[in-house]
Amino acid sequence: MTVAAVDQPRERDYASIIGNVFVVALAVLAILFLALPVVWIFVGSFLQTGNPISAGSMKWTFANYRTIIENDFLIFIFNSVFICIVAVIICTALAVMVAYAFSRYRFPLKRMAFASIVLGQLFPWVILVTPLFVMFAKAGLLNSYVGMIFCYVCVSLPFSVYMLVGYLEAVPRDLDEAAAMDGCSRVQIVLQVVLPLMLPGIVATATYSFLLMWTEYLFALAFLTETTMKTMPLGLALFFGQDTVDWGAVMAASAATTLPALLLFLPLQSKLVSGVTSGSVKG
Amino acid sequence: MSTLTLDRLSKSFGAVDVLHNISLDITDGEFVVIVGPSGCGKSTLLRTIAGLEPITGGELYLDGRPVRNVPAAKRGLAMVFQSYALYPHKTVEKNMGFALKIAGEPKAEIDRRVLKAARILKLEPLLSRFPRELSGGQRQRVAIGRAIVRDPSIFLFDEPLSNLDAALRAEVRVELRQLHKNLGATMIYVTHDQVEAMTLADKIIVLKDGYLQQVGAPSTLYNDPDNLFVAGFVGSPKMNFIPGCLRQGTFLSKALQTGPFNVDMDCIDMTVGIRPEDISIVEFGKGNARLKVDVAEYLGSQTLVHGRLSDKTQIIAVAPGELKLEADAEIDLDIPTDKCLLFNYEGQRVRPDNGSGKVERDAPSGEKLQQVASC
Repeated sequence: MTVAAVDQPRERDYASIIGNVFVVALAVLAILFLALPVVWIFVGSFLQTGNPISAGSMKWTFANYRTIIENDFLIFIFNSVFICIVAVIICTALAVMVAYAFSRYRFPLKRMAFASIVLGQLFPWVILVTPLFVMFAKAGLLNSYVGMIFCYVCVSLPFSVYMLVGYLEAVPRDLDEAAAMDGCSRVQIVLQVVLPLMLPGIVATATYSFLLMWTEYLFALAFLTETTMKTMPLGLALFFGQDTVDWGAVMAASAATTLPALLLFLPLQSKLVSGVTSGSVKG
Repeated sequence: MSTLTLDRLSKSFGAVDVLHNISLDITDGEFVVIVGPSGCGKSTLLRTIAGLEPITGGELYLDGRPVRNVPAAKRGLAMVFQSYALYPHKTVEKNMGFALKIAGEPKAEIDRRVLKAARILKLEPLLSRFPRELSGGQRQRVAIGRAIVRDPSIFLFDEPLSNLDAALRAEVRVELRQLHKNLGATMIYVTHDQVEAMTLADKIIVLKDGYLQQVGAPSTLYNDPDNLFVAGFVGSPKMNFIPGCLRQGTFLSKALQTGPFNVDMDCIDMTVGIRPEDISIVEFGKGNARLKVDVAEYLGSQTLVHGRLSDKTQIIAVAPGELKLEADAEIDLDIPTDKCLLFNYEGQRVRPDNGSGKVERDAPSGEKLQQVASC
């Protein structure tokens, strides 16, 4: 009896240790999978060959960064940052208003309108390129910030609305009504009560649309032909020559494109925590 | 401080009528409780008064001014929600002062009034906390505080105690009554709990299926209900109903004969209502009804005797003190005629004829009269 009583917990201890080791190993593997390419890029960007495991010299250098700066990469990054930030602000502001209407108002054909927003995303972007190109050419919107911003707002709006409606549904309607009883106008309700509560949702949605636009290649390739208007993904492609690839420059350019996104969204990460509404209404 | 008048107010959601022609007068300083079973439209009625739901028909007057088209924000009423609806991103202090901030009051005035309300509700130590850091009872207090701060013309309460546990509910109930006394404001309170209604109200409004059943003081509703529904809804344990017929002023059923009633009508379908506390258990052979006991529930000061009459009618009687009874024991009850209330086949009260008014009479169809005769 006593032996078994002593043995059993020990067996369980071994089992839990093995279990823990297994979980840790899995986590390490996942991190390796996710982090290795990033590490590779950052290390490679400081190597002449651009390849961390190449047979050649492992000399550290800033030459790659000098190359991309000489090749107007800073302009591409500026274009990307400008277009994306303006488009994200417009898109998120519009999406908040549309989502509020879908969440809080009753109007005819509401379900159909919402379904069309979701369905609209089923079309692959590539079929939009040609008609948009014709329209943009007629409107003089090719090679312009306005055109690209318009285009990016349009393609990221539906999903942003879809996401925000979900977040808004989590904000209890009682709070809207309490604010109305407290004398708030509709605008005050949204600005003072609803917006602060759905801030995590807004940050998540803005992050999503920013990353979507930041890495967008297809529309940029079609609508931006002048070098000074090009965005960062197009700039990155410039380093892939017809016959040769300057891997060092590609790595440096890749690293340089990661940084702005990182710098923008690291501080916002803490806002992405859920549970802000806890305690408002009895669950 | 104000009066509220509802004039044939009705409300429908699409094709569903929720409130039918509700007319009411609520005078200054009254504590009015709207009570009814779930789905009776009581919360909707409160929300139409608040302005959160538009009304479909009729009119609503606040201090004699029609407010049908005045939005909730402009009516100057304060509401305490069942879910409390505290702003989770604001501290208790900010929650309570929010309405004043929106109204553009100066900061010093806001602080003064928030502090005053916090003192009334003993919330001072909690002012810098967030709602998520409070217990249910404290949140409830903050929600009430938010209403007090505004010094509204009318307070609206939508089942404010239903999320509290029983002990706390009783405590807050007393505090609410105290608060009403101190503030002297008009309060409209919705609940499904008839105990809350009885203890809090100056005036009770009983609703069923969107129809007004009866309006009156708690004692009026208890002693002099207008219909079967009100009689059954008010009072705990519930009033007993014994079906039978009325013939020449005497109530007759298989299990009970009692009378005379000063009612000049014969009716084959009549119900007698008698409150459990009015029934007394008497020496065997001396009562006017015999009860077969199912269960005796001992509550300390009294015993609730559940049983059936010979016609299977369920009856509850209240006996003082402890009464030990076996299941299936037979006891005799005295059901006093002067405590019996009569209800006709439509469930409407038939009041004794004092010679002053005309008595409603059933249409004397031949068939019915025959049934009465053979009853």
